[in-house]
Amino acid sequence: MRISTEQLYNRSIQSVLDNQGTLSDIQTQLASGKKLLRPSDDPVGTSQLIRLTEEISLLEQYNKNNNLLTNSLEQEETVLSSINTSVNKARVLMIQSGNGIVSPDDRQAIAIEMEQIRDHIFDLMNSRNPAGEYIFAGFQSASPAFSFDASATGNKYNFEGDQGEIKIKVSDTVTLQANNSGRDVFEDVFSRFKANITGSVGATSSKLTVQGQSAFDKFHTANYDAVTAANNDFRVTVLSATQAQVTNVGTGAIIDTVDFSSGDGFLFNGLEFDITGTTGDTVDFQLAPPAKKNIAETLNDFVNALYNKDISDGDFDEALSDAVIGVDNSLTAMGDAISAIGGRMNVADSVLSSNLDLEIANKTARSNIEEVDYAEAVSELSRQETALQAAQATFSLVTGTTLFDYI
Amino acid sequence: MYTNSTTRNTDLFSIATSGVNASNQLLNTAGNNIANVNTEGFVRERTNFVTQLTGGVGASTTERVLNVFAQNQLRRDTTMQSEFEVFYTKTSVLDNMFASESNSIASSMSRFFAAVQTASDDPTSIASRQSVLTEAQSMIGQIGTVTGFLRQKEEEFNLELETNIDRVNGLIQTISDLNKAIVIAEANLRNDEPGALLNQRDQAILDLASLVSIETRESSNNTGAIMVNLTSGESLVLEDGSFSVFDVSNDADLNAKSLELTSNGKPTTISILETDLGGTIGGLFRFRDEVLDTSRRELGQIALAITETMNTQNRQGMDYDQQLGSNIFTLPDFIGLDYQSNTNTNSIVTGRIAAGAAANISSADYEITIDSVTAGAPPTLGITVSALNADGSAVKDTNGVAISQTFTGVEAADGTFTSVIGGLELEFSTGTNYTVGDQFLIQPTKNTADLIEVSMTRPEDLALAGPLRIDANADNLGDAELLSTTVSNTYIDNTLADNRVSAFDGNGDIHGPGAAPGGTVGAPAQIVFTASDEYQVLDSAGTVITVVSGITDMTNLLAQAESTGTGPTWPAAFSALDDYPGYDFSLQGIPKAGDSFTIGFNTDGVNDNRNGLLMADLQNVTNLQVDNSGSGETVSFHEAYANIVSDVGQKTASADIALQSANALKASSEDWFLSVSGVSLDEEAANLIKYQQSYQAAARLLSTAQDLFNTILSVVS
Repeated sequence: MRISTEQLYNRSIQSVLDNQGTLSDIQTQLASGKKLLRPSDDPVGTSQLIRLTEEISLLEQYNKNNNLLTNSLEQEETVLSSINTSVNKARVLMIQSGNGIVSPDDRQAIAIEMEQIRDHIFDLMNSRNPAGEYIFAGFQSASPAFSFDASATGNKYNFEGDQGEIKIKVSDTVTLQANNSGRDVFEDVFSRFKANITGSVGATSSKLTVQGQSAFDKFHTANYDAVTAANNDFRVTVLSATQAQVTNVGTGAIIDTVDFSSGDGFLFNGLEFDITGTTGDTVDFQLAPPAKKNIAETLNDFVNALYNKDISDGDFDEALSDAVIGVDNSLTAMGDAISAIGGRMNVADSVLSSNLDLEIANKTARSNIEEVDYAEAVSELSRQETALQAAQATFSLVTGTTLFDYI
Repeated sequence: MYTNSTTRNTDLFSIATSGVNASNQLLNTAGNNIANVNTEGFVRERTNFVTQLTGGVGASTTERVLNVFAQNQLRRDTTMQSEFEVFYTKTSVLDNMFASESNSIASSMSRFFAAVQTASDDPTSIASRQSVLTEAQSMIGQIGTVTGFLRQKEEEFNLELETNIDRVNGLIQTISDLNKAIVIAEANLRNDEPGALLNQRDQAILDLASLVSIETRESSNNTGAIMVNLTSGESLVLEDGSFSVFDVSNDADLNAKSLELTSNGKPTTISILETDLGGTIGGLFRFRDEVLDTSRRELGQIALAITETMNTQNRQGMDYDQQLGSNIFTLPDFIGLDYQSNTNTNSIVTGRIAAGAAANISSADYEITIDSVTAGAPPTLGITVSALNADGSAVKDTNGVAISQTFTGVEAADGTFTSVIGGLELEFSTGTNYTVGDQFLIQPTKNTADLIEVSMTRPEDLALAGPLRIDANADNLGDAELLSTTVSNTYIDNTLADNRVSAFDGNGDIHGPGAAPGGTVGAPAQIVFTASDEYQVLDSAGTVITVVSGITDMTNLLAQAESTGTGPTWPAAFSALDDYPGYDFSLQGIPKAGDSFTIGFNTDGVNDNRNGLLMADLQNVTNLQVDNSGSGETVSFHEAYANIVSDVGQKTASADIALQSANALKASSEDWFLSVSGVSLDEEAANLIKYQQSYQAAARLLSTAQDLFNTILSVVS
């Protein structure tokens, strides 16, 4: 083939230029540590890179959220367990006050201590987080969760917040509750279920006491009708000297037939009746509407009973039963809340560790796509360098000889 | 130049003279070749002789050593190479831009959503709310910067196009002029070619071939003229010396330049797509239509969708001041562009993105054609809205049918927006005379991304809270509890005139009796279970709206009430509206008779983050149309951005490969051409020696003849 002079130069120059371009690319790769210098180097890799980076920053945010969640759960747990300790102390005092040898003066002393426990618990129920928000107030965290109104006719300690749940996202799919509403933890606690005699026909005496509270609680829960009040009225009818019948006044349904002996007590679903009467006599009783009292209210009621010097032994026993059961119910509600918090913390913890694993996996994937393999790049660099030197050397060789030298 | 010397009578002198002259001529040619070794477009020349019948060397012919096939091949490969070169160079600028910005828009979106999450974690913190606004600003700024860069590229494209068109027109003129000169020169010189002129013309044609794809033909009657036309057939240079030049034109969009040909001032349209023109100009058009315009519009689509989505979600929440949320971003209006052919050029059509229509936004342009005009107050119009691609062609749906829809009874009144396709709302101005056939072009995504602004200035206005609070009554005996609350509509219109109205009154409450549609019962404010599978829905005054019995699950209790409530049934006035009351909720657990739940405005609910969580979730929501065909396939914002970047990367990568192969092809055809027509100094050096020797030999012959003559003379004398 005929080679013209221009061809000779073109070819030599082109190979030098080509080699220089490749060399400069490798040099940039080495200097930046990235093999993906621009999207066109690996279009699919670039799009994966964007998604991976997004995923990583999302995971970082989830970890921040997780921290925050754990902090607020820990704070709430601390508050609840210190309330728990105080309530348990109050419970010990209550049992102590029920001891027959405790004099009314001793009760005063117990009352003073219990007052302080009550105030301490009330204070904790209005706990605030570092940002100054009331943690048990639900959405309305700017104002205290519980208020105290000494002149109120009913409950004096009242919940003022709502049932709002603050949820925090700790992964794409897991959202955990960061707070508990005071409504669920403190307010939604039943006080002791009760029943009372409303009237009698014929019977010379009638008395009703709750003897087996748990059996009665079941009966109350199953039979209390919040819609039709008449359905809460029951009647004991003496059928014979040995039998009595319990009917629902509202529906007329016969509930049970029980053994009866005039003047001796008989048990009906945890209620002990002591009726003196003859066949045909009736005694009416009613299920009292279930009431809800928070722990502060329960303690306050008992403090009042302790202060009351004129209280009869029977009334004091009632007050004590109310208080003990109220406290037990409160402890159950708080225990539920604490175990729920523990559960959430466990979930948060395992989500955090899986998030960290994912983050590492994503970062590895990202560096696989993006980062340069130094060994490979360095060897490529020296290979290209050799090629460039060869091209430069041949340039002078090929273009350096001309026939004119010999003329 | 050579001199022809022939003699009738053969003698040694004349043979010797012809030899000397011939060698001289050869040396001339060789010298010319050597002198022009670095002249661009120079084709080496050879001088040929014929033997004279009467002895001695005869007439010489000097001509260029040229392979026409090699030359044509070189032109075609030059066209291809320069097309890919400009396409690659331009595309790789975008490639580099996305590389340096690589994760910039993506990471600013990430940062924005991270800020939303941080703010949701602690909704009462003003500082973290402020950082949402700051990040929103930075995200929009980032999108604006990239869009601004792309806009500059379009301006650059327009300038470059005009420069190149000037060059094309200059070359066409040059070729035509050279044609004339060559015709004259060829007529004057019988034996020799006007090599210099031919070289100049070939160079001009090669230059032209690098700008557009052309074909050449020799003149049919051998005058030496060359005719040049586009590959698609349109003539550029004609035999008679006339020629056509390119003209830059545009229609509705002044920045979208297209081409036409003008011959003696008469314009003709080109029957070929600009992108198929080939050469630098075709490459430029391909860059604009395939890369620049599409990525610009897709970026605009993301910007509009993300801002409208956030706006909609913020409107469905309640802010720190306990008001219903407002817009975070201001989206620009789009002015409809007039077509030049419009009869009436004063009409104004304005478009905007309809509230809540983010999922329908596509990257298409829209052409609006007035089909009918009915006089009245206000006048009503019949219009057709068609979706167009960036290059002006119709967008086809998945079945290959052009996407277009007609609307009738569209009121032409200021402030009246009619919603059409693509999430757009159009406003036709009052009092202008629309003419049937007039067309307007709306480009929602082309120029808008850098016009979006963060309009929210107070961090308190961020609506992280939900506007509703549903509380279980404190005396509830059952264990039913709230599972979830949904708010789908917070549109406020206490006159109830608008079908979009919701139950929110905008004054921190929901509609009570008398204020709600229908005038009798108010919006649902309470539900009371009368049995574990039966509930009443009541308004704020305690009036029963409807009763639902026999329920099997407790999801969306209000929707159940609307569909199955009896005695009385759900108010018809509620059902007649788009979405009233605009909220719903679900419970879980088992209720007891007598349990009730109240629904009310979330007054003082500052520590609520329900709406904030929904906003943060939008990061992963796939809500963006992946293409314009209406296939319904959607992607998330990050995916959409990743698609743009990898699309540009893909195009650059394939342009790079195409350029490399075009370079190789051009190099090989250049090799072929140079191998035939290039000057080789070594060859010329050899020739020099050869011609010098033949010159010396001929001169020697002359001296021999002289000697002979002298010998004869001496004999005579």
